[in-house]
Amino acid sequence: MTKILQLTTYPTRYPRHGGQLRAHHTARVLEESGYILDRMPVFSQSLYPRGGEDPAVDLDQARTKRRFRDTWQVMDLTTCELAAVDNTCFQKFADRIQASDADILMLEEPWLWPAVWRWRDSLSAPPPVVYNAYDIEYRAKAAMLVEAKVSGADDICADVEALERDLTQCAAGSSATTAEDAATMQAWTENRVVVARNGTILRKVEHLHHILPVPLEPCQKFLLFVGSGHPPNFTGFWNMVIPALSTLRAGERIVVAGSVSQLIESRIEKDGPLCMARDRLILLGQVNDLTLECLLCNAAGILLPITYGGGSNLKTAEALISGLPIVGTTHAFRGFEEYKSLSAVTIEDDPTAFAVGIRRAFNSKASPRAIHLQKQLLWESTLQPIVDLVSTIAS
Amino acid sequence: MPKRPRLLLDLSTSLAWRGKHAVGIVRTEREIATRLLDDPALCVIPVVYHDHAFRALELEFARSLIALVPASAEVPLPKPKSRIRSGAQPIHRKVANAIMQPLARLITAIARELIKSVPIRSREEVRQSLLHARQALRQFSSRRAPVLHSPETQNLGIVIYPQATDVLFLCGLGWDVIDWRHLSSLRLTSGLRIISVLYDLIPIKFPEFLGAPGDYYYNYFIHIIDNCEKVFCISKRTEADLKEFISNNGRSPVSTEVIYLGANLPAKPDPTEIIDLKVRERLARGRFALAVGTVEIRKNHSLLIDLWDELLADPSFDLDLVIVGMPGWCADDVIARLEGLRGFGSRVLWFKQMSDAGLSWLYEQCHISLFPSLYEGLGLPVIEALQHGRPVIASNRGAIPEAGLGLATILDPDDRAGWRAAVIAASRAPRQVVNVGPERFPNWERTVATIKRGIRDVMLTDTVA
Repeated sequence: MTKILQLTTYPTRYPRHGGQLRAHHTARVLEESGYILDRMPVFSQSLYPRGGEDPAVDLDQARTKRRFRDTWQVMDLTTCELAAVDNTCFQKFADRIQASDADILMLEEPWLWPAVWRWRDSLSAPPPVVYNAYDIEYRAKAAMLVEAKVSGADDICADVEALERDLTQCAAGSSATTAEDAATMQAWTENRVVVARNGTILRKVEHLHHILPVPLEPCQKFLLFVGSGHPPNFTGFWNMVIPALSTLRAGERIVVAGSVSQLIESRIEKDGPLCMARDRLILLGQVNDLTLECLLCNAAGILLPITYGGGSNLKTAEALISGLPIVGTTHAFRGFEEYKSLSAVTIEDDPTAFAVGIRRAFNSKASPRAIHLQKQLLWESTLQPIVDLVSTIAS
Repeated sequence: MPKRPRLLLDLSTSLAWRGKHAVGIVRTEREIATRLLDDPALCVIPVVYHDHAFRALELEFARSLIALVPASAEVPLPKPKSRIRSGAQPIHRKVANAIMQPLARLITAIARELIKSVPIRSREEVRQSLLHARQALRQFSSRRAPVLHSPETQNLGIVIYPQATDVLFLCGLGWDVIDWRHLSSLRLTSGLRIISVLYDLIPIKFPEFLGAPGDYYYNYFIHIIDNCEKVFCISKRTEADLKEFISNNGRSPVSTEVIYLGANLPAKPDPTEIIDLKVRERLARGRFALAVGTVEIRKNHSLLIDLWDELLADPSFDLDLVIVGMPGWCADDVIARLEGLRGFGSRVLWFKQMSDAGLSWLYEQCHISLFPSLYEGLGLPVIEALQHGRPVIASNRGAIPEAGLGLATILDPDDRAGWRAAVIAASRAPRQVVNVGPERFPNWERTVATIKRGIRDVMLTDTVA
């Protein structure tokens, strides 16, 4: 049986954020397709104190040596480089790969490529690499760095682009989450690039009616936004949803779940008291699965307000499968364009029109998605191109 | 509205006793909950009552609460405390006991006086506050963070607003962990149906056995009758006592059903927690009588103390007495007499705590089991001893004859001469085995199957309009 060594830059056993979820389900789907998966997470333990698993290589000791230490937006690039640059880290890294004796290496995101390249360089017949790209990273980094007004952004982005190009070129096959990203990557390589958009799981939530996290009450109607601390989540929410708070009626609320809550809260505190936010916005922070399921069961609709960022939005798949009314932006539907015409989906890219969409969502009703639509959104379906790609490479 | 009726499975008692050695009702809640929680035929939502609301729990957290042996290293279990109460007790423990036990009694007495001294209209609020304080103190004393503030319980923030189709199932220390005034209001406003397990009405029938104010329990039992769709009683005796209570108080009848609690101890016999090898070897000879139960007035350890005080004077009497049970309430005099008994620590041993494995080993090794209690809702140790094939001499009070299953020797606990004669006869007789098939004994699977049927029946009845 073919053995795949999956290299990730975070723990994946108990996934929380989007990257962890995609890596977790990629491994699961490949396992269910008959492959042996060996998971090799390489990360700084201090960044995931409750990750639920230890890193195969802990980069904590070497972290002080990283480049651009004040630029957290490129921490994934600069931290993972250490696995190749720091000899102690590299030795552990190489020993672990060697011990795996895998037939295929699968890189989730490009950040560990320098270490993998260095290890492969010493071998006469290294195992093939499959690159699972979540985004065109240099574009995403450019947007974040420009927004944060980081000096030297061009040089950093050039480094990231070189890394992505080199990996895509050397990989026996790659996957992208949108057709647009796949086209970009295909221009860098003659090898196959497939589209495997983000998916979701089917949650059973019907039994959670009127079970709500404090301070929500059954008499309140609310629209839900779920997001990590990824900058596009904050920017999209701040620009598209905050202006709409004044249109909310008595008993209507916007509920935010996920670590984007902290960014929103900080901004509200920094910019002074915002009564609209106090009375109409509920920031829950990171929530456990049960809380998320309770929110999905009781929400009147879901908001997808991101206005930039690459890849396909994982939250879009979750929102679509819920059957709830959705108010989103064109950008949030990258990779899910065919669902934009569904009756319960409102797409608006202008804050004023978005506010109208929010009003419409409050007045709409949820309707279960058709079974075939649900199936299309599951990870088992969206990741099938990766299974086919691996199958081709393995044979 | 939800498509399926939901079963709200209350684990408030398990939360309060998390990580602690579980006996009695705490143990029962864990055993029943373990078998209900993952039943796909029931739509089960584990809940706890906290801060005037029922809170939904994540399944994994619920499982950790009811795990008989916590799987996570984050959940430290207290070390086995099966030390023998004897002269060999470490000096620091003696000092701690000498200070803490009177202090605990003093605090309890002050708390009760405090409750009495406040106006009646505020009494319940004060009592609830003291219960919270006690819980925090217990957690502190067991060197753990207060359970309600530990990382695992941060998510007690999910509130259930009950529906008319919901059924709440209670099988814990309902009078201790739930505010029935509030639950009653919830039921009236939501149509929630409630099913409860009733263990006994001893506080009403024999208030002298308890130090707590009688009206407290009286209030609880009235709430049970007025609010429950169905009450599972743990014996025919308890069912009869409940019906008598209903009749005496002019209440409408409530649907009742008898369930016998499972008696199957889920651990293989293992004596290793009895640290003193000499004691272990002595017990392994099998020449001891075993009495299992909290040391309190009602359990009638006085009878056994009297008997052994007398019998140990006879050098030919070679049967030791082994008592397993935590110190209970109002038992200072009994404990003082026990500790002052001749042969205490050598011929008379007291294990304050014992794991299932250790208890099972003691049942297996004992020559006979004794249960002289003055009243019981069931008398589980009688069944447990019989299940281990050991002969039992038991009291004829309360539900104890039911627990004897027609296999135990039943005697009036006031018949001291009868007990003396029976113990002497047993000590002289060769080791006997009660040889009965397992189908004769209640087990948790059958108990919970009955409970599930009852729950489904209630779920199928029309909801309150």
